[in-house]
Amino acid sequence: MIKFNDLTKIYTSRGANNVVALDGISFDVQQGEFVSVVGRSGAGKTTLFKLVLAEEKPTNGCIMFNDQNIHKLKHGKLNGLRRNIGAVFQDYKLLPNMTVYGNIAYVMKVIGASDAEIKRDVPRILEIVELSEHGKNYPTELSGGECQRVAIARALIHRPEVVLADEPTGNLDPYHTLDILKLLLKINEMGTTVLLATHNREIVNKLKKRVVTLEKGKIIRDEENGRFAL
Amino acid sequence: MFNSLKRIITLGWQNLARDGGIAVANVFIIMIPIMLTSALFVLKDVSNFLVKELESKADISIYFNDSVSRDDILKAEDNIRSIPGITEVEYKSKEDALADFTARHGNDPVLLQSLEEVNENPFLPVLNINAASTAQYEQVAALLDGDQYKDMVSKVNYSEKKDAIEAIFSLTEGAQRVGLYLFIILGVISLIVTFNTIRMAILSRGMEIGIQRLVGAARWFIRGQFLVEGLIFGILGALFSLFVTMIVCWYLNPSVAKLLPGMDIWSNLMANLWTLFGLQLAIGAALGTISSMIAVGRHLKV
Repeated sequence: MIKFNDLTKIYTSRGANNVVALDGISFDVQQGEFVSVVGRSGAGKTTLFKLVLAEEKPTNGCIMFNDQNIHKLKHGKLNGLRRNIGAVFQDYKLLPNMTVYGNIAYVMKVIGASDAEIKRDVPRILEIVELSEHGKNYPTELSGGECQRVAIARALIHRPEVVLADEPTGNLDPYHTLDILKLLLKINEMGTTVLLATHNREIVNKLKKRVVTLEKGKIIRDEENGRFAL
Repeated sequence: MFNSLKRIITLGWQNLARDGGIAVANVFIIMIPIMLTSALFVLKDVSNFLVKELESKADISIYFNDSVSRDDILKAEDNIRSIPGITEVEYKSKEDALADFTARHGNDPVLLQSLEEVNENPFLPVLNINAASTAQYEQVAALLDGDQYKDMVSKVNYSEKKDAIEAIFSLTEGAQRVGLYLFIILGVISLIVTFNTIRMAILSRGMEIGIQRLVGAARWFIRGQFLVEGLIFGILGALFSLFVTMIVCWYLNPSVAKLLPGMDIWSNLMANLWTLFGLQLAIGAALGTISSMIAVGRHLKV
């Protein structure tokens, strides 16, 4: 489904040393897989996700998504691709002046869903993330874990094939971390491919899923039922 | 397509309404250049009035000998009128000149007594001439210097008024030039302020734009919302500016009329209300949309 081919990303800036964020990495992700990408800060996890979302361009190599080179897509097709990817971030990126319902409905409006679809799908997704009673609350009125569940609901609302979760538990306590983990597993069981970037040893070890370990922009380990070993 | 358009307009309006404080600030900022243009629009009438008044003082008078008949003077008037740029020629007989003088100095018994002592009408028939520029006065002076009028003309006061006339014309031209420069400078400053304020407001919405991009919103869809927002800022700015202009003109009209008799800024405004509103709307809409488009463009590069 997603193929990373000899992917290299080097950040260059005038008057400073070049930073090699990714150094020729290659691996495949199959449909329905749950892959944890682990590594210390600066290992290249976030850069990898930015490249998948086409927020950045690779210095070398390519990413094939369903046999299409992401970075060679024209804007129209790139928008189509992005609708196939749901993104979840450590800082939630919720719009503070919109309710929980509004934050999720906003995404649907943007991608052109009808009012009837919004009315049908938003309550459903709120039910999946167990936030049905919080539809009218604002993000500031929710706990970190609840905010992250809203962010996951928002990432799922357009039924993407893949969910990229970049340190989704980075701001959460152990209880809420487990909560989010369960939710990501539930999404995966429903058929959605999940790519999780984390440096949380505990959750990776609990998952017992495939683990790709990055260090200084290189893959140092890629194991099924892997463990966090750094 | 229609659904997308409807959604762009709705989202544009909702985005604007969601942060009322910033929206109000943007409307006020956009009002600065619109109000500046409106002020210029109103002041143009006042300045034209003043220039006309001032230029009408810059006239020359041709005094004819007593012996010259009215018909000959009127022929001379026709000749002068045929010079391009002559705006007004007024004939006054010696009787009219005496009546004017008596009316003007009716409260001055010494002058009136002196006139009685002369025991005859000391005034001469005269042609008072107004022209658009000093060049025409030169032409009139040259025409009257010719053989045809040499014996008819008693006196032309051009040479003694020449310096004053030139000073008046250069003063009015200078004032108009200074006004234009001032408008350009203030206009540029207000454009920079407006553009930067709208840009800052949009920069603060980077996350919103980022989310839209990440879920695959088309660029035109995102731009469209900001275009609608900018357009609404412009329309509101234009409406409020028109309202403020009307209030100011209505309030100042009596004072201006007292200061400049014959000047009626309220009536002038009412006569040109739609032109002014069109101008305000065009400036507001252009500023709002262009600033928004440039600012949002930075977020859509990826």
